[in-house]
Amino acid sequence: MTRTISFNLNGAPVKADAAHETRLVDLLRNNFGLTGIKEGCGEGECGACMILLNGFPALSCIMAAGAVEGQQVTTIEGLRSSPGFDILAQAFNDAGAVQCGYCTPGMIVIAYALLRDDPAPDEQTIRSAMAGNLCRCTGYAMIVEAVTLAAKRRGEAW
Amino acid sequence: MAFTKNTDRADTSDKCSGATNYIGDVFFDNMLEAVTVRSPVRRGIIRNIVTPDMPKGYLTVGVDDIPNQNQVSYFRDTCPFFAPGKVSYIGEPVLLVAGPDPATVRKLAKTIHIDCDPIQAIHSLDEALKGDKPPLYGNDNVYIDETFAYGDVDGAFSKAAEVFETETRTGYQEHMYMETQCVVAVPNGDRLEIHASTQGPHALRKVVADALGWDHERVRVVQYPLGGAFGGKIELPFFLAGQAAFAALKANRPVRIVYTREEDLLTTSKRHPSRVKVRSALNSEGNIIAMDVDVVFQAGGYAMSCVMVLDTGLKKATGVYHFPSARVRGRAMATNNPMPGAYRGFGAPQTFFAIETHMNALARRHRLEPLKFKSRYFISQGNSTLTGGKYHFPVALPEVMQEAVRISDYQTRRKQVKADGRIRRGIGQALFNFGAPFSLDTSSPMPPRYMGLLKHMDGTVEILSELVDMGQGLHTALRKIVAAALEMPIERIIHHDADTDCVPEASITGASMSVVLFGRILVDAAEKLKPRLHEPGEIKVQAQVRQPEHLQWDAAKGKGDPFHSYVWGAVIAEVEVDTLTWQVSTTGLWITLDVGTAIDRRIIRGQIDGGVVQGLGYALLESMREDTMTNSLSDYIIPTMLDTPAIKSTLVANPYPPGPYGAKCVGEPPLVGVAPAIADAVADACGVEVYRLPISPEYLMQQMTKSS
Amino acid sequence: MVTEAVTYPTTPTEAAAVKKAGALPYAGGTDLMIHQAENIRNGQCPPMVFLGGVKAFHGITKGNNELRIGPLTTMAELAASAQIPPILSLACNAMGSPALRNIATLGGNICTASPAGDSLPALYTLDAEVKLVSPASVRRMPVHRFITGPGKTALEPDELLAAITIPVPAQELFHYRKVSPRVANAITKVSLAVSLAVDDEIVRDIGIAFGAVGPTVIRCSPIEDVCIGLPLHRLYRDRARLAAMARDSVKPIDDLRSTALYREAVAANLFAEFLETLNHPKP
Repeated sequence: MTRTISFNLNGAPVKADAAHETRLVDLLRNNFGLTGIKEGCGEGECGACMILLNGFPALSCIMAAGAVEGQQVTTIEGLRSSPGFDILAQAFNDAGAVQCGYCTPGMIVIAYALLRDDPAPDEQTIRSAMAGNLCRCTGYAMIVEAVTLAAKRRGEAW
Repeated sequence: MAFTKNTDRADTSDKCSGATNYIGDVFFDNMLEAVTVRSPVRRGIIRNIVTPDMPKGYLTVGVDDIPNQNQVSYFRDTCPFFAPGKVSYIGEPVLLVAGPDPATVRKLAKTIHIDCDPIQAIHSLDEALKGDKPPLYGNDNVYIDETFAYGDVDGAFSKAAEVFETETRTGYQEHMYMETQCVVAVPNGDRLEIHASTQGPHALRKVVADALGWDHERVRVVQYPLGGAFGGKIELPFFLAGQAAFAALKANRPVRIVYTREEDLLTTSKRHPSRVKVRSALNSEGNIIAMDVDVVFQAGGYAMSCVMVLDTGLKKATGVYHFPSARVRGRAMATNNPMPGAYRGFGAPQTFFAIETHMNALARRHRLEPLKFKSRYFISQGNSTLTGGKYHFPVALPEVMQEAVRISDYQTRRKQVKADGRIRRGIGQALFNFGAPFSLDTSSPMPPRYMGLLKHMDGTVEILSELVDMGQGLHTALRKIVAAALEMPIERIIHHDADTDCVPEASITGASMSVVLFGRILVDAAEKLKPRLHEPGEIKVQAQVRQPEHLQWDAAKGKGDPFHSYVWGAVIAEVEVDTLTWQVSTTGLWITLDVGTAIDRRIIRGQIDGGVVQGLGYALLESMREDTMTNSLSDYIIPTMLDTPAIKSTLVANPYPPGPYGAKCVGEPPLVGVAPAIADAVADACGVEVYRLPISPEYLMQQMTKSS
Repeated sequence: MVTEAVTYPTTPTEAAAVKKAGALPYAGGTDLMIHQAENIRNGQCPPMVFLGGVKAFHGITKGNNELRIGPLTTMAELAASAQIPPILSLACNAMGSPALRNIATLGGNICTASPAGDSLPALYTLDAEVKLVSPASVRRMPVHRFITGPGKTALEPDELLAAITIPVPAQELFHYRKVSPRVANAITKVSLAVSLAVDDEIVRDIGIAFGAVGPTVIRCSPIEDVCIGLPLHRLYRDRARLAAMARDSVKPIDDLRSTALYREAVAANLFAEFLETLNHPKP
């Protein structure tokens, strides 16, 4: 049954017509064209579909659209114009943390939340925080280095 | 030419912001979604297919809708798009259902009933060898049986003072590219466009055109950025593209096939499971006088590319050693399982695990320092290959080994106390080489293939090649090579994703051949363009692909130089084993590689780190039953950030003269030595030999319980 | 009939009524969405009732005799909570990945009733109870009675899990270990939770529970009975015998993820490891 779901998406109030049980990842990709969110596994195991729900990292492939009624959803597209994103993207570039790129938006989203809450995470903290984001290309070390670099360069970004 | 500076990749920024469009992110007008209806049985004769009435706008597509041939023409052996009246493996595609609403398509697909008369199925390599079920291929289930040998192996064994035998087994490894398989077929007038995540745009074009019975030019393949591939996007896109093409032509609308992760895990190719027996004959002084290797791969319901994968693995099966005599036999067996296929390493991870495990176990048996023991047999420049060719260029194996020993402080670590309460520590090593690209017959002319350069009006130079950047950084490396050859800033060199209407046919991207072979051809092209750079207007030059001059390869006899060049490598691994749980954690990994001239150290490190971690997963975590594939990522376990130790890597510079500025390959080698090094470390820690991958706690418990 | 108006109930009884009408209760969704994935893809998913708006389902409150945890409390909240026994925090923190823990709920973990459910062994050892509400009734039962088999609970069609309660004061010594196929973000192969109350080096109360080694979490009452009243050094001394008892009390199976033999051996080893720690009990 199609219903209207109202929520805040990337800072703006939006309405979407969809069945409640629609997966959030599909709602965001199909109804809003936010294809920066990727589906890697469809079962919350890989982190490619990472969003922020009320500011906290969450997995949009195992969330129902109906569950975000009245909530705040932030996607990679919503972070693009933030200073924190610029610092992270530059650090990912400089550290060589991007290969195929399919996991990258999810990595950036969770790293963004991490650096917002922890100005200087050590390596173990970064690895623990991002352990739910799978990457098959990089072997992770250069991603960890990118986040460390971004933390060093954070300035007033968060 | 020094490539001292790392170059920023052109694709990073869009990949970070999510602006990069993978094929699954692109929506075509009036596009239909298609779902594959698959065989519920492993093996049988299809008696009847019961299909519900299709609502308006929905259709099924099957064998009868194939305009020309139900055969993926890329493969020499039979390999159909849809089950041809009989089923050869579980999950074999039988039909597509296509329509505008994906949920309705799936609902319809579920109601289709495939009525089969089952035939006794072959579940495993062992069953295929045993031959007590009706054969699936030929009369013995053997897709390929080939032998390479030199010297008097049987004679050596008959006079041996000692014969040592090991049997290693390895399982499936799934590529686990993060982006699942996805293809869209789009009719366009009297042509058809295939928009795909593929490693071989021109190969894909031919496959689709051949199936349709069309001139190749009528099919256009547009390659999108790949969300990972590792060899897994060579073969599978052939099937999806053909099937989507049949549907698109029948419906006269764009048709998309996108696999769910479950479907991808259950039905797409994997690394071939293997059983390798290695026998060495030793004389009374304890020296190896002959090596006899018997390799068996499990190859699934159709041969697909098992012939090439096995063949390549066999040519590497004697490792980094030159023995007085050697024989390598290999067979690939038909079973009623989904087909394994190309995967980073291409047969070598299985054979290197076998030979290095054998050599390490033999050294332990003789209480010899393994590196010293193994160095007795090191290949050196001028030695002959298993196939009677020659190692033409300097062999940096001793330097690579010494460097790995140095950076890992191997000698000190070896002396460490093994047991610490319930934790045991061990250190292990493995040596490997990686021949690439594989040679094409040098006695007959190569099919004409070209790499092109196009100088635009604004002075920028575009590389015209179908070679695919699947994340490995190839386009950056090629741009860097061309920039160096043209003495231009790299920002002025462009390499787009491939469009078969715009770029000439060269090759699929894989087998570690792109930089070492095609990079060299681009230098040729650049040499043609360079004197004309100042000319106004567009200038297009092409250079024909040629094999380097040192090469002699007789494909029919399997004699000569099997590969153009060799990367040399050493891996040192340190592990801790928790004897309460038999869990292995890797506490350190060191790897040294000779990749010739390093074109971009940052990209090379990315390849090394990534390959090593895939090797780590292969060694310790990644597992599927031979006849029942895992359907979810919660059960197919790949390493996370917390499972990966610090990886220290260094390079030894040993330029390969025919390569571009001396470069060799780097994509596949880093994976190859990791599993045998970890296995050796576990054996060192626990005092039991490790003959199986992955080294699961369950297996290790069994081994340790047996020995105690 | 599930109507639009009650998709977002605000009271427990209202929510239970919608469930009775056939809606799927949605807490964090992390298991439900996977179980329903195929139905969702096929457009055949039953309607859902989203429980997030029920205020009474949230929060942790401490009463005189018990701690009350709302079923929609997330694993991340529990992992960070100083109000609950540390063993439950540890167990909740061991589940899945950080983002998963941000949405997965304790109520969901209990109602999924997986023998590998990460919060369950801890809850068993803490003698946790569940409170169930229907439009007409309220009842309570121990969590080990609530879970009746793999994926099976005592919930009636019109009932919802409304609260989890833990008696206070709880035990004060805890031991938790999870063994899974990789370091992070993985399903449990074997886990052990032990909650212990000690007076003067004498075991006053002990709860011992294993995860993923039987159709439900296994609480080892026979071993508990042996241990109660003994001094800690006796437990240490008798560790071989007690570990053998642990081995006998688990009922693992061979499956895709492991073997019965392995799980049995590891369960015994984990228990022995716990008993080893009693040689030098921390003050």
